[in-house]
Amino acid sequence: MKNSWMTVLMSLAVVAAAQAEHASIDLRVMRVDPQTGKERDEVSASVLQDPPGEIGGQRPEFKAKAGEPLVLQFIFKNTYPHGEKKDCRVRYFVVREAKPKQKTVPDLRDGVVTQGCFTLNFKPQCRVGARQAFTISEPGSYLLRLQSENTDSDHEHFAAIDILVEK
Amino acid sequence: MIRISGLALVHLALVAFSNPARAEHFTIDLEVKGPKVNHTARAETAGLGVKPKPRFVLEVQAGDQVTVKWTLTSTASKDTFKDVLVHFYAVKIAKPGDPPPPKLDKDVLLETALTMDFKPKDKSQGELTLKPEKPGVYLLRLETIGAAAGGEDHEHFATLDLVAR
Repeated sequence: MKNSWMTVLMSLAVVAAAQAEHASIDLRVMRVDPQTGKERDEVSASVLQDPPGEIGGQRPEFKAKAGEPLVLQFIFKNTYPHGEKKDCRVRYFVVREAKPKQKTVPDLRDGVVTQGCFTLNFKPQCRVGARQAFTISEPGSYLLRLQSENTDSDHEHFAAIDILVEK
Repeated sequence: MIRISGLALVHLALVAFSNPARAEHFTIDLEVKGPKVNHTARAETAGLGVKPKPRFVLEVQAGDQVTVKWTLTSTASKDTFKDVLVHFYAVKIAKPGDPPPPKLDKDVLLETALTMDFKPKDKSQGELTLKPEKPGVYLLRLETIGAAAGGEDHEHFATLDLVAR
């Protein structure tokens, strides 16, 4: 998987997980072996709609150790076929949850481990991707979430994974 | 003779100003902010015979949260650049000023990419956080890939070195 996501991002062979949706998302988190640098134990999530948001589906769960090297990776593809949309946003974050599997998205003003946001004009088949190394130093429950914003639609798209961090 | 030289100069000037390599069609602001320091790198061009400028070095402490904000704006008056790939990365290098590694296959803190058509005045922005956990030198670079295919003969980039003590 390593080093291949850029190839996938640029490839037209990426098939939308749900072609009827306006977006496809491939969100992954994995651990990195500190000795070999190899990645393993990958957990992935695909696209959901908001609304209904977090109550609409069970989030996959990834278990990690505090301080363990981790990698998050995503490819977001706009599959809305009808023209360009201006100033859309694609946001991702890892944030601490008050409790595991909580049904609301935590406030991003507190407890953010890492985050990123892209603003761009969506045209059909355009893509956004990222791959980031990170660690979580404190045990607890965390939410990894990728979401679209400001897409001028009655719903947005997202994918999410729970990261449970033990000592 | 003077008249010929004058015409030649006018001709050269016209060629120079009509050459896409001379006309910059994108601006880049790459702002990198640590807890106590920040710097904004501006666009340069990458192409045959273009020598990059020395990179600014920004120092932080290992474990510091670093925020990266970039804006890529088309300054073209008429042209549309289709399917431009906007590529950003932060990768560990041996020492400040080292060239970008040929492959981003190890020691990459963060790599992002997006594709977009840039009409005149269109812009794309990114705001990202990263944390160099270990001391080292990290090359941060935002670059266009594919702008050259849209009528320019060069790409654009902004870059700096981040040193974590």
